[in-house]
Amino acid sequence: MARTRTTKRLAKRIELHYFQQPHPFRRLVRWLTIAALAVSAGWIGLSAASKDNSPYSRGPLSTPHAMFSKNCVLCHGGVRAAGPEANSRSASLATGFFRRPVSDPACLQCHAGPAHHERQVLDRGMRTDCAGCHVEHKGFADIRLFSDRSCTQCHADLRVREGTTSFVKNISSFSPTGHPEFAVLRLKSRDTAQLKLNHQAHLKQGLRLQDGTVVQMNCSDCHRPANYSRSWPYGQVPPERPGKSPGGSAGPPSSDARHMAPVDYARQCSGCHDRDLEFDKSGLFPGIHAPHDRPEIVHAFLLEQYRQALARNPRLKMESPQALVRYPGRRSPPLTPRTNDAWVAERVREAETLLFMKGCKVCHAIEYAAEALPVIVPTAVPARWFSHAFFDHHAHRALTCVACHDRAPDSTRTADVLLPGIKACLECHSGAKNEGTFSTGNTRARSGCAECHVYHDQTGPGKLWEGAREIRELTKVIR
Amino acid sequence: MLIDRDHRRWAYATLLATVAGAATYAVYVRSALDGPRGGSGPGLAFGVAGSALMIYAGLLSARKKAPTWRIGRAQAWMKGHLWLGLLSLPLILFHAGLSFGHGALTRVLMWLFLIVILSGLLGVVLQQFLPRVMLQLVPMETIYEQIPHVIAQLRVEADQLIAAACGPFHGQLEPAVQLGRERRMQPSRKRQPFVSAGLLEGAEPLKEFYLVQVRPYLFDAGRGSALGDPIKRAPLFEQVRPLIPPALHEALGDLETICEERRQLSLQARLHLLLHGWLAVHLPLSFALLLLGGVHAVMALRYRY
Repeated sequence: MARTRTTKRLAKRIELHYFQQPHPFRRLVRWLTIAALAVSAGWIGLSAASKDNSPYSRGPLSTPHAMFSKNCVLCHGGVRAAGPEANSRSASLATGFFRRPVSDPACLQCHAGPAHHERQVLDRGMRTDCAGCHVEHKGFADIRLFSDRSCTQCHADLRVREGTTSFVKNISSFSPTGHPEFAVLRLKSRDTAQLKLNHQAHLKQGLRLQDGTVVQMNCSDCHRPANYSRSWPYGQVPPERPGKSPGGSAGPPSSDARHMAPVDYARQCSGCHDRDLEFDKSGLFPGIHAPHDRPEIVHAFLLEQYRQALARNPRLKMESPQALVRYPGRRSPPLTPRTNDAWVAERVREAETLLFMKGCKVCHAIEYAAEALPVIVPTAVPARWFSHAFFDHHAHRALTCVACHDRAPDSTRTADVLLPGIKACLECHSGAKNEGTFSTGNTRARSGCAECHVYHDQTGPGKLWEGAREIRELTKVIR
Repeated sequence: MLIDRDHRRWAYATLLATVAGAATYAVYVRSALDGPRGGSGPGLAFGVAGSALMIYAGLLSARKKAPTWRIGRAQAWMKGHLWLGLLSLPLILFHAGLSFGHGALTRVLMWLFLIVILSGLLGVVLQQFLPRVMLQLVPMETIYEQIPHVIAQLRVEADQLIAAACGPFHGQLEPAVQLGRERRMQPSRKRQPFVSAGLLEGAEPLKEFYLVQVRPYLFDAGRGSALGDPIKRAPLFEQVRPLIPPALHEALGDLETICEERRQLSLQARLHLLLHGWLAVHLPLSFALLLLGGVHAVMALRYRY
């Protein structure tokens, strides 16, 4: 009888309780599940046992904070605020049994972070706590470059608590429509510096120096950052004299590479303008010039010079000033004996007339007074034109100066403001905004708010550097 | 589970939820101060929704453990597992700000999540055509878990068939193959269906063919055996057929049928492994994902700022 496959026969081949018996595949899945759970739990358990919370980190810390990547408690330690900040939102975040957020007091342990503006108005949802703008755990990104929205949340529709504000109220982005022209240009401000400076005369071709040399001056012959070490072609650094006043310079000296140092007479001007400070035409003091200093100091210098000259040659007082200048075929006037003081006073008066009525006036404004020394009007050259932004000249060193300051070669008046407008900046700076994310493929320079503006009011004393932590405390996990 | 017309509503609902989530995410990204973050309000909402769907998808295992509970039809649970589990992918990606995470735990979670989703999708794809392929290629299929048992029965059946036709083996069988379980399956003599009246002359070639080629194949149906290939197998049996009396041709035909069934059961085992093998990845990693996801939720909320 041939083999048949009836349903009954097939059914008889199946064990009744087969589903209750463990099957190899099911067993394999079960064991794999147990293993996966064990590995996961083991990882978490080992981390907990070693008090290493780094697996839970959102990402690597920024470079300045990277050293305490494993020491979460330094920032997430629930540091409580003291004083008036105790009731702030960030302070309340830090006070909880379970929660361990980063609070402002944790940041303020090391950073000053002064307030932006006391009159700012915060709507619901706006954040001004440290972590609201400076978002950590984003890798080696510059934590100072925060999102533009941190700024535009207020400045796109600026309001103040009371009164009005002089700031533009609708700044939304660095673009022709989203950002106003720089205030100095927008308000058509003039340079009110009390100094006569003709850029065109200095930059013109074929400029002839007083010794007859023909030169072509460049902007960098006078305008350089303070830390620029190359020698000055048209100036010299005189030895420091006790009591030397900074009368010739305007503004505080800049020590960084970002800002141009104030123009200083000795370094930038003296090479050409020293002859404007010659005070004696008779040839008594060859190669000696009056100091570029306050009138009182110049006066004292002149007195000293003439007294010494008289001591060296007492016959000088017998000669009239005109007699010292001898012309061929002309007889000298008769000698008139005078006292020493009278002679010195007369010669000093003549020298001061020459200086204050001619030499100093080449560049300076002078106020004269009867029976007194004149007053040099302070130059008051603005050290910075941006009062609420900064510009890094060093970062732009690949450019020629006139690439941005294009009006400088044609400027003839001190009053001309040669600051380039926003249009010049936008030619390059129309790239990525700081949106808190990495962006690649940008073909334009960044144009975020933080490129030029500083949020915190840095005019205060800042944070004292009196830290109390050891290196190990920062770098090792505290057990 | 076959994706058919019954899934249309689920698919549309999933698509609609994804689009709504994407629109919400777009609005959120535009207004977020420092870009999308999982710890922000909307980011947390996406995370909670995605996690809830993942937990629901994970509950399918529990549902299968209690098939008698009246908590919805198993088919509905399966549909929910499939579509809501799939919906959790965009929600979790929105939660993560469309990034892959930067921390160790978040990266592990995202890798686990992706593997779980992809293995699940692979399972769904395999379920669409492999059962039909199996139906065509394995008409003699049996319950998967019973394949070793049925194969053992096939061996017993073949032994009895040859013993009935060619006489007892007299110790010609390897003792190793006479294992206890097979011995238990030996039917009693009274119930043997293949007992012949007497031994036929010229049955030796059949017995030799069985012992040398067929029986080893029944034990180990490796792919190298010619009997495992229907095209190569037929000539082998045709070579034996002229060597034995016509009365044994029927037994030879039965033996060929047994070989074919053995081949199909091997194929069924392989296809079943292919059809369900993804579960060996999907299931363990799902549980690991749920465990680590819970840890992530707790720690992220603890350190959230």
